[in-house]
Amino acid sequence: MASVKKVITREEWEKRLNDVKIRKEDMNKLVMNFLVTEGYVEAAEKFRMESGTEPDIDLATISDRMAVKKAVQCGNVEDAIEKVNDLNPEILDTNPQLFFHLQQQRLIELIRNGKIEEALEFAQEELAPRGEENQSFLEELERTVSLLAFEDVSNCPVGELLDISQRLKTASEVNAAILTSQSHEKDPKLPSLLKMLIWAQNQLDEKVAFPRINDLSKATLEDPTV
Amino acid sequence: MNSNNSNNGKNSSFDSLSQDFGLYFLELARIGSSKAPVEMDEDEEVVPNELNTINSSAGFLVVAPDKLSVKYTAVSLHGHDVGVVQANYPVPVKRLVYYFEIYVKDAGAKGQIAIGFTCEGFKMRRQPGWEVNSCGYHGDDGLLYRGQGKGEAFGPTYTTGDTVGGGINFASQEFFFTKNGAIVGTAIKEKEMNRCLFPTIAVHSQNEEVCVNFGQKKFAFDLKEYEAQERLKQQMTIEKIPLPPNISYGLVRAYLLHYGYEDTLNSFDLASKSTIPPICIAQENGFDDQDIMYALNQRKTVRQLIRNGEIDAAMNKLRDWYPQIVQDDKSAACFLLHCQKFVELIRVGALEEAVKHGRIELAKFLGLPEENLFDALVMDCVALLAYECPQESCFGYLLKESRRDVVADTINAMILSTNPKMKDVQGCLQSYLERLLRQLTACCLERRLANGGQGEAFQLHRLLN
Repeated sequence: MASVKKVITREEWEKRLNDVKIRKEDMNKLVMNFLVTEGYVEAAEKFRMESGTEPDIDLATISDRMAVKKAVQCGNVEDAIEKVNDLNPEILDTNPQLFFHLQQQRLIELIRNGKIEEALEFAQEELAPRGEENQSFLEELERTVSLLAFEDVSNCPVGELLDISQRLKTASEVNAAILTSQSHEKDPKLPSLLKMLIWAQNQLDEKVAFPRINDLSKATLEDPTV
Repeated sequence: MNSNNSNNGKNSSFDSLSQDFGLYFLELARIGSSKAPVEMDEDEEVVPNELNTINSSAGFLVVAPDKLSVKYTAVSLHGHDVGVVQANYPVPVKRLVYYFEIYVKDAGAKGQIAIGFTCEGFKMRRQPGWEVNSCGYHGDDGLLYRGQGKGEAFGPTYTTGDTVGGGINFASQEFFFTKNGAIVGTAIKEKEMNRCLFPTIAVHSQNEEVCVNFGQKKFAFDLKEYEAQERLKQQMTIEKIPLPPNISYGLVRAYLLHYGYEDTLNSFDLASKSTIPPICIAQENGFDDQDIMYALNQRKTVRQLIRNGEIDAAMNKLRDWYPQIVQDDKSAACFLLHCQKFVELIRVGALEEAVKHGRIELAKFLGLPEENLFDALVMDCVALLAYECPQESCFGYLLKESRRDVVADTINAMILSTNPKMKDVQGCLQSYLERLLRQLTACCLERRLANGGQGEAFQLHRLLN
């Protein structure tokens, strides 16, 4: 016989919600952390003025980081690499995988722009030596070079390399590496908290029936299902 | 949220709303004040810090004056003359892990030392683990005893010079023991086992001597790293959970709208247009700005004035735009504004003016039958007059900038409530983000309750600081 779950009524649950103490300053910090990690510099500045919340990172460094990210997103990888080295030469030195991915992106952009000879030269001089050092780099290199074999790249098995999502992936990687080098967490805290909410509700659901919030965007309580 | 107070029948529903809002934010503000620091941390528990000399098996052992070491003084003859000592307080359970260590100064004749956990009322002449509701890791045979005379193979033996630790992991509901900084084994903590357990050490042969460390000194075991690893395990499970696209972005935007942070919002929107890929929260995502876009510029203006301490200017704006909020002199909105004005006058040293203002505007709030929160606040404000350096007094919290925010948030909520489209009161008081955070906290607390009150619960403040 199935055991009966304890049921918490809406009224009872709302009382518990009201007993929770959330400080405004903490919510402001959470929002500031989001703005700063995601790179919304001006918004972070304005938020500091309008709410009196101090950012947990030097705002000046955000612009630099965003410039690098943008450069990669637009396919200007050489420019991005230069900027990263200006920011902190150690980042690429201590991050061989990141450096390889940036070089790989450079190769992709050359192929995209039809500069075949340049692409081949670049692959041979810059990427092949890296490939020799590392098996997974070698595989990536092979995948990228194989783009050259196809007339119609939109249909080939490695076509995704030419997709904008590849640029975004690399941009994200650079962004994270810069944040880490600045001793800052590379992800904003807010999404983790939202995931934690979903997880906590599911965990609690196993033992107790209670009003859930199923639509995070509206934050409305649903009556407990008995 | 209380429904209407029964008292003032002639209050319009708007006034009682104002009352409720005022009280709501005042209550919230108390968290930040020096007056209610302890309330904040519900996870406050007493922590063991020395040995209990009252219930130890005196006659077989002697505890040092510092209550942090014990020596066996008898000649052990049988299994019922063990020298057992518990800590002065039980293991605190509202945390991820509890841990303590012993250092074996002298293994004596037979090295029959034990470290473990026992319940209240444990038979103090028996080794931990030899009776129910106890467990012990014994140094002479390296076995783990869990409520029976027969032990199970567990770890290495230990002797003079070794540091041995015992801990409880509340997330995995396990005991674990360490030797010289490394974990030697774990064992499930049965559900039936007594909730209240005491850290326990025991000595049983001539001249055995053991010191205990309840955290006053650095542990040989890297507890912080262990805790971090545990949290990481949980974190990794949670990270895999998918989220609807752009939900964080949408919640941040809604937050800015809710509180009237217009300039930030504009910068935010501008930046999002040039994001790659561009962020668009279409209606499908569920965000409905209609309600919270209301009076954005006015709310921003009033907030800025209040944040700058320009209370009179703020009140003038309100008289122009939302007279209903400041019409009733005795409304909570007026009360908060006048209190803040009083505080601002004190801040700039205009004490005479402050007194004048207080007599005109604040005195009427004293002695009101219902709200003793109003009373208390007025008294605290007035008390500031007595100090040459009010900021350093125990009422100094009133001069903090965050107090201005309390007033600003209240007025913000009041303006939102004038929106004919506003469906419910909660919409004025709490942003979506806040509601989600409350739900998260409540769920974690309830979950912990369902797990026998053990383990870590979510606390936003701890996560951010």
